Amino acid sequence: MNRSCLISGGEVLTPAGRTRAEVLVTDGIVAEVAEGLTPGDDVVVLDASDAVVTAGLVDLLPRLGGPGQEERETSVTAGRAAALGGVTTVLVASEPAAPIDSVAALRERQSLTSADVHEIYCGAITVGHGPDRLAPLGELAAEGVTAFSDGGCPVENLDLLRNALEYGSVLGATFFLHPEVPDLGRGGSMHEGSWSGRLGLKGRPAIAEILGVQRLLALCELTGARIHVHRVSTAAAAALVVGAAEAGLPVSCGVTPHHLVFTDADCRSYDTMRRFDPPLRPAADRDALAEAVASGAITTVCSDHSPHTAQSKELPFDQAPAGAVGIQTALGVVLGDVGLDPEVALSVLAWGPGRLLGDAAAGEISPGRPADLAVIEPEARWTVREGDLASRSRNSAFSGRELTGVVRHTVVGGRAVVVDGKGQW
Amino acid sequence: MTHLLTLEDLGDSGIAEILRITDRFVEVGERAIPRVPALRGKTVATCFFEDSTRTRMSFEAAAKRLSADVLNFAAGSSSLSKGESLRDTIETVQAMGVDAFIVRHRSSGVPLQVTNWVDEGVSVINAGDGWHSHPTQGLLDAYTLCERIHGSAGENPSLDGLHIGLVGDIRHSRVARSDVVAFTSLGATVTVAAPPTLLPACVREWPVTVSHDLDAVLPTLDVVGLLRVQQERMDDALIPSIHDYVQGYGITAERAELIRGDALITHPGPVVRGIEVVASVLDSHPNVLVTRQVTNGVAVRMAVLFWLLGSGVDIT
Repeated sequence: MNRSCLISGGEVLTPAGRTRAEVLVTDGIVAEVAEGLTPGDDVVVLDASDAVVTAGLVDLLPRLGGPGQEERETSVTAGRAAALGGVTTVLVASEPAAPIDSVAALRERQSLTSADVHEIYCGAITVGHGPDRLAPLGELAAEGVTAFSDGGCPVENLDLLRNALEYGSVLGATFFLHPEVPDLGRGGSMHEGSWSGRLGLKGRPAIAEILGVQRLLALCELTGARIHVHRVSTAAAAALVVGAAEAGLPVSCGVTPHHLVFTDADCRSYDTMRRFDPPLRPAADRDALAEAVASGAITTVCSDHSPHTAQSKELPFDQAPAGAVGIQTALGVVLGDVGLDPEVALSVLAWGPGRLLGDAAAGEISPGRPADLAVIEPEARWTVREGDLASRSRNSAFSGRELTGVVRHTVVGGRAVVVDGKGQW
Repeated sequence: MTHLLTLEDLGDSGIAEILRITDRFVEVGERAIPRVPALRGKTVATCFFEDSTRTRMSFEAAAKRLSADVLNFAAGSSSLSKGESLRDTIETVQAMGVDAFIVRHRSSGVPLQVTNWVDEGVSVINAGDGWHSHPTQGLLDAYTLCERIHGSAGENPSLDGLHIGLVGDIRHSRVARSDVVAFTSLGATVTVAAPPTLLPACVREWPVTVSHDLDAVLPTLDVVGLLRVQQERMDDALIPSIHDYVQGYGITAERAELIRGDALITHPGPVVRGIEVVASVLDSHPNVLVTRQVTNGVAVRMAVLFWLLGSGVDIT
């Protein structure tokens, strides 16, 4: 482990703006930020010329596999994919196959920690993501858990959800919720609309999400709990959340990179790499979401990284699992296809998510801050090749596509885990 | 063209071309020995991942009358039940030496997926996928109407000026989707009549008129195209009951009176008598084309196989 490194020659990009400076890292924290620093003995130099130095990305919704899902992903492969994507912190979801619904389950999950990325654990809201009992929110909070979610599934028992929100509202908890009303279009495999009608696929209507968001906003108002709607996919749902936040409710929302790029028309080839949850929506929704991200109304972009085996993605479209790997490509997609400025891209991929997880100074690079950093070439282009993906699964929706924004170095806890685009493992 | 997946892919000129070729195979079918050597040495595999005896037999008859060899794969009796993947199945059958796959699957889009797994030059023919497409049914329905009206498809197959109604479960019908493309391609006007819950999303973007008043529509129709309504739609709560459906959209004895005497009646089969149509209509109306549809189905499928696999060969 290199105890000290000097990130030299770059432009430091933080919420406060850009400055030309070197960044000296010692013992896992930022020691000094100033122009003209020179390396002492035993200091590793990371060249950042023609690049920006930024706080590492924070991914709120990667699925990292876990016990029993090793054929899809392990914490090792997920951590590497994250590091190559400039991600230094992930919020590990409670997943149906391995719910983090007890302190024991939390400990078991903690034992699988990746060496290449910080992991923050999301507690389950309900025991087993089920309809019956609350997970031990207080006990988990006492262990340092501040984020709660039943993964990508909505909590269907509304009594239980309301109680969780009330109980958690005094624990400093943030609830990461999936908005869809599952009864509407249950079993549908794409957006209900013109394309589902033509393709003969059962659709999931936009109103399932809109009603789900309305319900969450009402519960937010009732309970005062902090709610982040993980992945909105419709313009109307995003507008509802943004409006409620402006009116003072403690609510915010995020999107995924793929919902900012693809539309339901992209399902027309029955390519299972275009099957997502929530489903891809029409162009008007995509464009409105991209605008809301660009304007700062939507505060986070999460990769929604979902590794699946090649075999499962060769099932028919209506049977294949939803989702794609994306933690390694999220930055390249929002800088490339979506065309966001680096400031906005980092705001939604790093600073916004960091604040949501309780780091009020997220994005700052100053002495004493943790040395979780990424060095990025915002205008460099690269083409996604399956062989370059570190994830155990190769189900990328962006295979073969040219993205913009190359991660040159990633530093996690002061250790350079990616140097010149190469993983140090 | 290598594959036949949808009639949209085929386009107006392709549809007309297949119907012209069908004329010649209808003639072959009337011979004492209804067999030609056109596809001698070719092998076609029927891969039916969803049960369908009728369509499979029709394709098999078509291939055999073209002197092709036929391999039959049926999901029920195969290693699919042992967990073999669709792709493995296709690749295994292909390894036996196959020029065309005829694929049916309960999931929309599977024939298109299969095209990704076959070798270059190997054809995939869609024999019905989910709710999506059933191109040979659309072609045989169009052919049967052309034949009845003009005696044959002729040089310029046309259903110009014809008002065709499709009645029944449009939403879940691959036949309806293919019929609409075939009929409108040939100049017909199409009305679909069904309760709103049995219509596809955004059907108003389709080149059809939508009606919920079958009694008003029936007397205006030159062709009444009946579609199946399956019991499982009731289980999905898309209709309150079969009885309720029949009251609004079934061809009851009273409603049958509204069908013009010179109108033609089609049905893709199998007919569920009593639900979509009372038995007496099928048995007594002079212009029920159901049997002719089945006969022409073989000729249309011969035309499709010949068109895809028989380049440069004479039909003789």
